[in-house]
Amino acid sequence: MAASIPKKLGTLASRAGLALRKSVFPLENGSQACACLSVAAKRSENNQRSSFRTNEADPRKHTLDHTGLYYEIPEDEMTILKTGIPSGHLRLMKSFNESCLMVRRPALELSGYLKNINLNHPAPRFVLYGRRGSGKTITMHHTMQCCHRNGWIIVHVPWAGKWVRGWFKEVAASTFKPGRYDLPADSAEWLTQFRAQNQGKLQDLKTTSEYIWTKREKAEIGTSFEEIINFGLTRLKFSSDCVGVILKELRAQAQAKGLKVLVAIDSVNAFYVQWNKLNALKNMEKKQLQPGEISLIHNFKKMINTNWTHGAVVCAVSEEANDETKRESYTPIYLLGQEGFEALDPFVPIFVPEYSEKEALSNINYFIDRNWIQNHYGKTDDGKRELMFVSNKNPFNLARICSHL
Amino acid sequence: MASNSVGRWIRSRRLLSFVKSPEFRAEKTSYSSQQCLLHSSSKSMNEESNDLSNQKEATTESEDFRVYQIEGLKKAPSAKRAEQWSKRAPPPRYHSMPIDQDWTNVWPTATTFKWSAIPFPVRQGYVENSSENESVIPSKYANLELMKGPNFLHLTPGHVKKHCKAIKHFCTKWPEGLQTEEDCHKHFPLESITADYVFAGPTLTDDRARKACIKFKLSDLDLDYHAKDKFIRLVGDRYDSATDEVTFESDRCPLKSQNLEYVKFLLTAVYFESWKIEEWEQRKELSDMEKYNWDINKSSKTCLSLLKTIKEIDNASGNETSKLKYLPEDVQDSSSVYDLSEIHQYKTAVEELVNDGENVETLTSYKLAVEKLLNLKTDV
Repeated sequence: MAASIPKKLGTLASRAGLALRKSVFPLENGSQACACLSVAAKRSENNQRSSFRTNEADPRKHTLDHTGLYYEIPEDEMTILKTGIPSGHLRLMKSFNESCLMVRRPALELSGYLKNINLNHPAPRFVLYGRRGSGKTITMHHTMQCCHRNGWIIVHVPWAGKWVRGWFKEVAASTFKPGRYDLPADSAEWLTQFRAQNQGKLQDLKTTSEYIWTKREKAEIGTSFEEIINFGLTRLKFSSDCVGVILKELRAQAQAKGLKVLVAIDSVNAFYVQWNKLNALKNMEKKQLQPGEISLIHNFKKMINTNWTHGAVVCAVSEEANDETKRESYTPIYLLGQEGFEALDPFVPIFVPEYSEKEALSNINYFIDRNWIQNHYGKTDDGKRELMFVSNKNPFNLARICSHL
Repeated sequence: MASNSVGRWIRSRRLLSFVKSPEFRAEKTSYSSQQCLLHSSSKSMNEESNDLSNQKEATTESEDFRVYQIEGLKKAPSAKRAEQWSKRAPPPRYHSMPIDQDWTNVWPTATTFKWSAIPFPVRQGYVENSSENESVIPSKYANLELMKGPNFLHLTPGHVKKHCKAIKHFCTKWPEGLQTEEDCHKHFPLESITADYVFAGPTLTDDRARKACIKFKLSDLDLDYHAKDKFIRLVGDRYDSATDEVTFESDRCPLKSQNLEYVKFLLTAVYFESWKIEEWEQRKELSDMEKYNWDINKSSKTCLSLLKTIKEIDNASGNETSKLKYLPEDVQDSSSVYDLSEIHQYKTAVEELVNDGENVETLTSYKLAVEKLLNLKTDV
């Protein structure tokens, strides 16, 4: 395909009596530079001139002037962030051959709060809320990248709703406390993710108390976090307890060691609202489990408390985590319910709006630049306006509509 | 179809040939002679019939055969034409109506739609497709759809004017000082609604006439916070929060006056009952509360404990700049903390957020209050 286009153009040019070499030369150059099959994968050279990009790749230096502009995340940082980014978004990033996120106001607001917090005070709580697909998760990831660059330890729950739903999920009685239930597979998954997200930050961390797993196995005082994680991954039975140990140690040591801990929990309302009866987690006696009975959730709820310092809690509430009968509104107190509100209060609600005109235009231009929109009408002003109207400037809807243009 | 008609044709030929045959002729003559016998009482008739039968025989003999007259093929001249003409309906009335007629005389009372008396074109009905009535909605002529529904042709402004004129001398003058709705409400806060039914019949009583109803605004009653809350709980759905109106209705007694007395008794009873504070009312729990009250909810306790921890931390650390400056020296005394303006702002924000529901204003005020409470700042 790529080879046939210059050839065709060449014949056209010769027919028109133009200087053949002059007209074909830049095209040949282009096809040589593009080693990939995808046309979109070709890196455009005029990044600096495009109206929707910024060269400021450091999220810490983003200001309001950068809103609506895309910045690129380096590959090594993507390994940290990609566990929580929605799969559709990841697929797009792969197709575009670059990982770009848009700088948006709520992310800047959140980073601004985190820059100014007094770490000696109990961890403040921030709750992101907004309509479905408005970019709560991406906002959270922008902040996570900020914190990662600032050397924060990231405790990230990509999708808390996963822990209360039971599709062929293994549920085991807790080894630590009767009446509670472990999710060995999910705990192991979280441990792997935690290790990957905090590479290079965990070497100095050692346990401060003794943990007895069984009669013969125990973790002495001074066991490194790496060992605890490895133990959890090899002995899946204790993986939930290992998560508990790590969270407890982080809370205890944050102040003493001067750590900075960012707790990022997506769809936190799953911790407080009962999932529907049909496919909620059930124990061995087929009794439906309350979210609080699940040891993972029990441990993460402690991270949301204000009884520890040197940290910050960033949560997002999403309608999808609630049962279908409780999705009438996207506002935080409705989604969290009374219990959730009492647990998180006082928190700073941060609204994640849908795209503004500028942001939507920037997104469409980015899609055009990446050859994601190939329809000629889509590239005209009328087409862009129609796209904005049809998607109601909702980021998720816009991406979905553009996926077949 | 074709074979059928051929068959019929053959059968008729056979019949004709039968008519032609001498046996049939013999039968026919014998029959006519019998008829003659029956009519033998009158001589002249008998003679006439004899003549006719002779004539018939003469004609049959003169022609080949009689032509079979197919019934209905030729239009028979109608003998009853004049009679039918007299039975026809007269032309509809609306053709002869003058334009300046008094409509109240045409349509004096409520009655079913009558197409012939309506001087304007009107169509109603449903046409399923173009083949039905040439896809035109049926006109008023013999239109059942128009007759089914009620009409208001007896209630035109002209009718109303006439009615008013007729009952005017029964009315009294509107009292002075009650010109506006507010005046009426001020001087007569209690509104009672009853109805009388008058009709011609063997009995004048009507079951519906015993019903009595009173209406009033809750704000007109002298109630304190507790009494008002209890009043609303007692009356249940008789209270409309949108209009602040309470409605008592009764039809349990046989007479209207009794029902009216009963609803007034109800009002008195509920009013005095709502002022009472029973012993069990002290055991009211959070879920029984009529609205969110920050002071008795968990939010206030968490807020206070949070501020206490922050104060401890601030006291321990020497850093002056990052302290929560508005906190007093002694936070153990909770009343002094509750009096702070920051706490007060936070309290009102939470109460508004829960009581008025979440919207842009309440969430923003909550956010600002929390920012102030915890001294959080953002550059944006």
